[in-house]
Amino acid sequence: MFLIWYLVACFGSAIVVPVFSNVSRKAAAWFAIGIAALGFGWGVSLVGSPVTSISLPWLPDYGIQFAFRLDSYSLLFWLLITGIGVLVLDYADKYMGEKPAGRLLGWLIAFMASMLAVVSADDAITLFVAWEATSLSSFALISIKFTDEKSRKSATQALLVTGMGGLFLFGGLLWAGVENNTFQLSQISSLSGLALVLITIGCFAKSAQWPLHFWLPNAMAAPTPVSSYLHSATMVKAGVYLLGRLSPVMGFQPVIHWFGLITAFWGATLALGERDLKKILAWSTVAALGQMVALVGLGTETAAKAAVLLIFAHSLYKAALFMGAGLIEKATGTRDMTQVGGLAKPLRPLAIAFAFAGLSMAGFPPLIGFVAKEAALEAFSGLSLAVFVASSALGCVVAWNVTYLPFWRGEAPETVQSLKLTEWGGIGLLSGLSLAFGIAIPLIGGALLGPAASSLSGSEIAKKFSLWHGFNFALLFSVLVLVVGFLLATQSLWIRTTIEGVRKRLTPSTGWETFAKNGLKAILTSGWDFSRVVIKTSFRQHLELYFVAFLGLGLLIFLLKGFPIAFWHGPTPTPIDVALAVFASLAAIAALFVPSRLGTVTLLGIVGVSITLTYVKFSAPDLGLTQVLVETLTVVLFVLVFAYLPRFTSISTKSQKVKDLALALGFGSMMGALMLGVFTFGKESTISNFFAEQSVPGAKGSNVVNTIIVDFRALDTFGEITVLAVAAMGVHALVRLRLQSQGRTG
Amino acid sequence: MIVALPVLTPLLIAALMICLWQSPKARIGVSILGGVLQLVLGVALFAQVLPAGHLVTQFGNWPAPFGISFVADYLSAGLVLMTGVLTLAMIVTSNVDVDSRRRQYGFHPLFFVLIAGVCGAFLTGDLFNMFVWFECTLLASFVLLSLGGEKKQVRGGLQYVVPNLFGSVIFLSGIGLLYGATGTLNFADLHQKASLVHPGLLASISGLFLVCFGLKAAVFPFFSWLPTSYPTPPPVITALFAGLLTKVGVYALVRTFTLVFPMEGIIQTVLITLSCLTMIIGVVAAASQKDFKHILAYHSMSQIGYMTAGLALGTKFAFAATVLYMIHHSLVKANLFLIAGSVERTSGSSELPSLGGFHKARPFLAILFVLMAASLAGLPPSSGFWSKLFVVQSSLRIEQFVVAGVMLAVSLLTLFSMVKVWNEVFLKEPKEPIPPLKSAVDHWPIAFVAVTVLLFGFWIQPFSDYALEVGQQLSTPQIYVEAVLGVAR
Repeated sequence: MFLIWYLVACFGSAIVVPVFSNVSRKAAAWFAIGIAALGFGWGVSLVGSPVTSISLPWLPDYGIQFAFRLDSYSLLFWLLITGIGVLVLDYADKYMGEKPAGRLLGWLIAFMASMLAVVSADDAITLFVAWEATSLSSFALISIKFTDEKSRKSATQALLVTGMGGLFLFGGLLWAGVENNTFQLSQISSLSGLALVLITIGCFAKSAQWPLHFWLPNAMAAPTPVSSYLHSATMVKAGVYLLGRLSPVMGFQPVIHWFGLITAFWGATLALGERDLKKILAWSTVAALGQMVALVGLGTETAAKAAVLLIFAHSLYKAALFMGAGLIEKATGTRDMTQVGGLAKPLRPLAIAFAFAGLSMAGFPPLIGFVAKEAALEAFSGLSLAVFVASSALGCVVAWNVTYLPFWRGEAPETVQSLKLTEWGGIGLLSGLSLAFGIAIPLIGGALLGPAASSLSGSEIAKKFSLWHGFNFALLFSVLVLVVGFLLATQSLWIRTTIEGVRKRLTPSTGWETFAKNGLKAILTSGWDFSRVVIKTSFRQHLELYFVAFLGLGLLIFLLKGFPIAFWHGPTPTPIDVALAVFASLAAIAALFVPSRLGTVTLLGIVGVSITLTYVKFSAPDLGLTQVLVETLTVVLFVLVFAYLPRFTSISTKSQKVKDLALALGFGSMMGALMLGVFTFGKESTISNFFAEQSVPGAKGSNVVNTIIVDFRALDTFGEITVLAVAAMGVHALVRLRLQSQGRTG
Repeated sequence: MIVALPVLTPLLIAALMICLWQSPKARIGVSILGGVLQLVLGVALFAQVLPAGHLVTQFGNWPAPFGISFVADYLSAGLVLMTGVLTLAMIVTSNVDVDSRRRQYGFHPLFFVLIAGVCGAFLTGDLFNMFVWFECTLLASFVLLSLGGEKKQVRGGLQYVVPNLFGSVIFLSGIGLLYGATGTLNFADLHQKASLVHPGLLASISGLFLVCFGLKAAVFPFFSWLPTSYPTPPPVITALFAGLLTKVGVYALVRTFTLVFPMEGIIQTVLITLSCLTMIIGVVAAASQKDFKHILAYHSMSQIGYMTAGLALGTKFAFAATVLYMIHHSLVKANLFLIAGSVERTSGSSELPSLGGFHKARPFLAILFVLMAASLAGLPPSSGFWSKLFVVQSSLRIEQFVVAGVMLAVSLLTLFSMVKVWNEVFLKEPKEPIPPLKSAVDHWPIAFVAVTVLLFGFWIQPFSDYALEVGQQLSTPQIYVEAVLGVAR
């Protein structure tokens, strides 16, 4: 229950902190840090204890619960999120300097809470809600400098890519839920191919796997605290987390494995071609995520162990490097690593901290990164091993570029000020931990990482965690990685210019980002063109479309369903009937072609009279009377307003008229066919008999039509009267309001 | 009697308004009273239907199926309640949004006739009577649309009314044919008699209703009247239309295709296909628009596809999803139009390039917009999220993967266009400084509707229970028939 209250408290303080920050900036920051520390402390207290779970009913009819379950695997993430959260919040407060930090801190806490909910959710819908909350809060965080167009664009891109992934995930989770008849993640026992593919795409988008990787470096437009938290330590690991969570169910997945390896290699390569420190780190994050995904895709116990180690090690060193990059930018005013150098002198502590983080990244003993790399080398074999070795070697070069070049080469400008302990303390702590955990690996392995790996792989892992595995292949490859890495590092300048050259030639015409952008652009252009057509065409053309669609639908039903039309089996039509029908039709057709207004009105009048006579012929005098009044009035009104109408012009071309004729004929035939059908299969109405019987005794009237109108169905009449009143108001308003506006302007 | 009140009361108010033609102050007072009454009646009706399941009133005490029946089941009662919420919000807003010239020329009576027509369509148990309420709604909305006589309004009005009259012609022809085939007009009676009609003939007649109600709901390809006319009148009128008018079409589809016509075979295939096309075409056009109101108008069309698709899927869960979607979308879309209205009143335009800066100048409006936009895009945990979840899940349950895929893809583009509005209207630096807010009345109605939407999102249980009950009722029409015609019959 603490878990839920804690999450609620987090979201609450996400609102409170920005408001409170206006009153006391310091206290608000301490409050924010305190909240994160509380979560971390609670997490530490859970290490070694059995699984914590809680579930509240949410929508029992749909099998949806508000359920959380914190096993060792989730707990590992929980500790990373809250632990790094404490440091990042502190860092963010200092980073903002004198500027107001309330909004940034608030969103960071909201993000932290969403992320915690993702890693502890035990219900697919709960998980998805939290997942989208991380996307939304990351949108807010990336666009926190929202008046800057670039921030807005990057934030939108990140939201769209992760949002798209979210929808795949949503589809996958729903389908898995329907198949397994439960949304409880710990109860899901099998995943069909479809569900797996959808969920994987969702995770790939979130964890920036190739080819959905391009949004992550662009998200570096965010302030550095945001990048170091979201884009290294936590949010991007959500995809890895979920794949790992489902790992016991999905087992070995070669596709996931290979996509991960491609990403690992590609990310490391691109990292070498950048100058901007944050972009370098972003691409190397992509590479590390690729390695994790590749391990999770393997599904073996050794892979699970390696994955957990890698997640742990990466969070520690990458958060340190990102925060350090922010400090470098602060001190020198640039993040371009070719512009800075010799920073080791003024920024000595930072240089040392960076060195340790870099060594962990390169996989140098005795840091934790080394243990992770060893474990991964054991897990891979064959071609995947080769790719992994290559990407790791490139990773070493990246580590060199980031930690050596800015600090130990060249001269620093005079203006660079040394840093205070409070500024670099967090970074130093993380780097120190990378070292400490490397040495104390049996301890941390036994307490936290071992159980986490076990629950990741779904079976108890007996293997011990240790720094020294003896002389074996893994060690050999480890050394190989470092040697190759070092050799390449000496050529890093050449590598960078080469990659830059190649990329300059390729982009912007190729690449997945361009592909996605062009796709969106094509959609938008077609949408715009479409809406222009809709606006530009008149309702006359719209109506044509409606008619065609209507006739098409009718034809489709006729053809597929069909009903046998028995031709007329009532009384034989008399010559008068035939004459009236022919008369009406001829007049209607002629009205199309008469070149004068008076002629058209007269012909329409003839149509009306023919219909009136037909009513009379079939003994419906009331109808006939009404019709004759309507027809007469129409003609009279027409003639009355003739004087006010513009000159008669024929706006339809001949082909237009032919089209109209065809539509009219089609419409008429269809209605005719339907009428015949009704006559053939229709039932005698029981209702009209009732009306006839009840007219005098019940409704006290001898004219049944009258009693229907004023008694049996009086409500209809009431409604129609209302319609008339509205029409009158409309005419009044149209005439008067327009006259007024004309009067005012003219 | 309570069943008829949501229709008769607004008509009475409308009549009163005509009597008060010369006293604008009194009209405003009475209009707010009318809005409150409408909401109260909605609540009262809902509270009475909840335990009973169905409430039936026979007009003139003529027994069904001979007279006209009014029937309130869960679906109707829920929609009437929703109408009540919107009525109150709109009538309050109208007092700042609609200029005095328009108010002088019958805005208020027209507004209430429209509300009466909508409620009448929701409550009537008689096909022809439904036509009458449709006409009431159509004419009132047409006059509201062109009230003011601006050139774009008259053009928009014609674009609106002519296609809709085509729909009415089809509707009336359909009624005639159906009466010829079955000899009755009462829905309950039709349910019994329709099964005796030749299936091919019944399917053909149902095609007519598919077209005319589809047109009222703006289903592709019968949609052009919506995007061409919606952005033309004052925003509050558009908000009213977006909230209610298309829903009347969807409601009529739901009513007839659960009670009278079978949803199967070619009709089902056609409706599923058209729904998917509606969703896609609507959202693609919406995403590309450069005007706040145009974006919203095309989304109105796009979202209708979700509802009709739910109907076409034809299961209890799908019906439940459709109903949730209707209520969710009415509230959210109407509210978004109100927000657009507030923006337009402030900046004098709704075109995205000339807007900006509302995040700083109107933080409260910004929060309201985020809530509504997130809901429209179906982000959790909002009303839109649940509606989407239910409708996607019910299509997965019967393995309609394409439909589910379309629904999800469409919601991504919906998200895109909402982010676009957010960036352009709220985040971007404004060209000119935004004047301070004139009166807080501007935001109250929006907040009021937003609270309902939030309730829906965060406390979904009662809403989903209600929707499942509706689904249950719609998939067992016998109960409806017995309630209207009496068990003995």
